[in-house]
Amino acid sequence: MTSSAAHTSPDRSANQRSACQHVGQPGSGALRASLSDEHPLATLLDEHQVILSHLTRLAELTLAPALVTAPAVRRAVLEELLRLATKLIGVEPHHQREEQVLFPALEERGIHGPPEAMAAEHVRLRALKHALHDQARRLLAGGENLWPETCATAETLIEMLRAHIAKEDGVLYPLALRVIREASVWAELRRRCDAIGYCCPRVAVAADQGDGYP
Amino acid sequence: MAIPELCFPFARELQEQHDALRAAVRWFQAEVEPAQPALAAERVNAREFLRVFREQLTQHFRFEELSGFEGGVGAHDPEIQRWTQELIRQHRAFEEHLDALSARLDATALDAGIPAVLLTELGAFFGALRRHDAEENALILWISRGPTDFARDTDGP
Repeated sequence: MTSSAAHTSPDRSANQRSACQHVGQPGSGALRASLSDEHPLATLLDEHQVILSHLTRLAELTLAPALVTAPAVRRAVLEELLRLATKLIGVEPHHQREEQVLFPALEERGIHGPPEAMAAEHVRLRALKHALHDQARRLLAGGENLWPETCATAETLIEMLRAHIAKEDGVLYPLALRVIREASVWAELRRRCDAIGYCCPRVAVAADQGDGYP
Repeated sequence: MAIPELCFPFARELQEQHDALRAAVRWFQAEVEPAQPALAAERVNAREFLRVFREQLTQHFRFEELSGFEGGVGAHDPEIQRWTQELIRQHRAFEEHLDALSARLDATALDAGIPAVLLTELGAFFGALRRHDAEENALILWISRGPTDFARDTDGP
């Protein structure tokens, strides 16, 4: 399992929150608007928006082959690709909060299929993110013939991760809200999420803020 | 920093076969697609390509299944097993899809070229195959090296 130096208690200002508006996933905006900022699902939804912005940039880099053939920008492009891969790997606490907190809570309520499916996708996504990181490193080290393979990895990761986020935003999280109705349970889940940590300073919420669950 | 390469024979062979498949598709997309698909000769060329490609693909899938996915690669890990079973299911779907595309090409009139819609669908098929291969490469890297503890970016995602 990838280790993570989680950010556990960064502040979040109104301006920072505005960076995570839900424009990428139809329907998720209404769900997010119904949740307080401290709700565990709100944090997961906000993090999805950050991840989607990374995927947009990844697509821009890998779908523009001229970028890496131009010597003047090649190194900068590859370094950004490596940073993006690192950032995508760095969302591991997001997956861990789902796997260790949200999914077990659903399974306790008899819902097994969707969490199992999402956990299985996490395995595949982890492998793709690490493969992308590996390929970016090798490209920076001079692996000239790796670009098509790297683009294929990026393309696969982008498609799979976007679909994964759409399923979680559109199906799994609304399902969780329907079956976990007690504010006290969400508060406990939040405390367990805090213990794991967050992967995006802009969307993580200070642990000492009030509960405010719907 | 030294970058380790995949070191077991199955992984090396797998990557070589993926490279060969990619080269075949590149040839098709460079030579046949942009030529003059309206010409009957291009339809004949495309059909011959698909016949050979189907054989290559079948041999490749059997190699992956018998030498790798059903031959012990990741057998110790139920998550990996679920993943490999999904990839094997995709193999069957790819073979059926390619057969269907070939049959539609056969069904076009002898003096006709390659229907534009079929060319588009072939492009989509090759794209899906490319993503499938990328997923397999990632799987093999994951199995052979295990998750690496990469340094976190201090800025966060």
